[in-house]
Amino acid sequence: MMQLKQSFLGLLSVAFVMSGGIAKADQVDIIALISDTSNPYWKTTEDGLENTAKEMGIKINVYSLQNAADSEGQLNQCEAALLKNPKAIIFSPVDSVNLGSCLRKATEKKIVLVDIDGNIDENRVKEMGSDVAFSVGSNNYEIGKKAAEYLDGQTGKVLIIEGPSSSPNGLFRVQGFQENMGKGLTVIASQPADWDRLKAADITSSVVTKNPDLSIVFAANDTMALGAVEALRALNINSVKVIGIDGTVDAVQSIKEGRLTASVAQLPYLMAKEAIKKTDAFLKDRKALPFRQYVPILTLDQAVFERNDDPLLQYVR
Amino acid sequence: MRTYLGLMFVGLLLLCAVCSFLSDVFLTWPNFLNILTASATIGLLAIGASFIIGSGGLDLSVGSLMALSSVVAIQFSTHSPFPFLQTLCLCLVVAAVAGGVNGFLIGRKIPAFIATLGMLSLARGLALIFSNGRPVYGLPDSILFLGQGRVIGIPVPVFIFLGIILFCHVLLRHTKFGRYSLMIGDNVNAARNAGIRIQRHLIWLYAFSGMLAAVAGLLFMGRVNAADPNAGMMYELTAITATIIGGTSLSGGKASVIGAVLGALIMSVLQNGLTLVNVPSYYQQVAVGIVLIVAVAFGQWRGGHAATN
Repeated sequence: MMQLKQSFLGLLSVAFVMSGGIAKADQVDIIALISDTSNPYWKTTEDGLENTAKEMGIKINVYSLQNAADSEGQLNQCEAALLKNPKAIIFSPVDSVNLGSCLRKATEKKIVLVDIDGNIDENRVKEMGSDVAFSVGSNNYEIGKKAAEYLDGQTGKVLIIEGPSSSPNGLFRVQGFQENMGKGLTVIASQPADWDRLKAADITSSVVTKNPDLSIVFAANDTMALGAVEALRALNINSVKVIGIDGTVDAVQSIKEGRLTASVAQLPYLMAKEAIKKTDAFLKDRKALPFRQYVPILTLDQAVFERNDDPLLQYVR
Repeated sequence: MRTYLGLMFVGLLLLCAVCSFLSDVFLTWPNFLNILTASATIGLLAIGASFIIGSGGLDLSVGSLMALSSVVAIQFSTHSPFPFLQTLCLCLVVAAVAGGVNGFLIGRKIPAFIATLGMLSLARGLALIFSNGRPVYGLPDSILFLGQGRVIGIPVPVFIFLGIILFCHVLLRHTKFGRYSLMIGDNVNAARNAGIRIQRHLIWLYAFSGMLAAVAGLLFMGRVNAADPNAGMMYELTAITATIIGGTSLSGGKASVIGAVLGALIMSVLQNGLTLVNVPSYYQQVAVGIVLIVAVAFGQWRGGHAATN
């Protein structure tokens, strides 16, 4: 037992000495709670938050998740964040209610709350007794509309590949596409592939086999669009145009190689930058903004990359 | 075992000391309550795991049972005149039945790993089916109270956690149920010769593990205000990690409720401390892995970790 005590005291003193050189990590202006950074979308968001904050001299902590569905883990992070008394918390909740109790306490402590990625419902948050200043994210309806506009004037048969039926963002994208589609286009099939590459490939193969005159595939994200591209290549079909959404690294590569026709890019880096800038401005002047703060979107295709003159291209990763 | 638990406790204190040097917030009363609340769900599963692993078994289905029991209970009690009682009972019954099925199969020579791995997938699938793949919102206030309420300033999950620790400690150390579980883990044949009805005991044991998962599920849904079919994913492995850090041997015959709780606290302090110090989540996973290996290795070196005896 004696030895045990000695080793404990020894370790303790080592810890003391070590801690002398380390600044405490408590002073922080903004804490951001985001999803799983193994997803490139969130990794880019994290980079955008940290770099922008650094450029503006703002101290930020970004807490990310190891698993995108870990609603309790995110709540624990939020509770920890409260104790550091940041001026603002920027958050992207796992689902629309998991942070409810924590956001209520944050409102009581007069911490400014900003939603990022636009997944929360303004009314529901109010009902739960918390006050979210504004929400920064893409307009998913607008994204679908952009895709439809890209195909303006074209004619032929269209296959729509949807996200999972539980995703409001996926539904808005498809809705925006369908409601703004040109008159010459007819939808022959619209099926959910749940964001999954292989499912999208299977759907595309079977639909194109049944309808050899298919001319367009619209997929609600790039992963599924790339699945469709591979399925068409395997069948040696080059006449079908494929449009995706997100502007991921893979999709950009595929567009440059002439496989994917186009992708309506969301710009998570820009979203993060806007979130920091708008939060900082709000903290200074407290001027109320409209709840939905939309981030610009950009349609990418080979021509856009060849011209290379759009200022938004710098945010495409 | 005693020595090992002492060492674990010292390790926990040391971890706390380091965290409090790095963050002024760490050693405050509200953060202490945060840590206890956060450790309740994993802690309850770890207590269950210490009984199960002590009996020479394994229960991989507890995370899925959390989700299944809470989803089913909420789906069928939203319009009930007694939403709280009905949710509570349904939750416990669903998980106990599923756990009982585990125990039944294991008693019939299906390896615990396989039976509960099957249940992990089966229960998760059922949870997704019953909820249509979406979290169910709008829980009764009484359930929210379980997860978010406070009594004399202390969160309700903390009281529930402490109550169950005490109950399970007594159950393991001072009742036939606990003694039989460990005897089965120590030597099945000897236990059978001593007159223990193994098959029946295993059904009760796994049903008990399921019921602890149900309570964890209740706390989970109360905290996040939703019965989530994705709740508790991977929690089974975190719980087993906590139990092993707490000194329970994978080969059975020895177990400690207090050890499992210490293990859960260590995991919770790590997560909380590393978050406060703003260590990225990737490194947090590395840290948990190191703690697990170091704990068992240190136990072997100083003697007393059951995994190495």
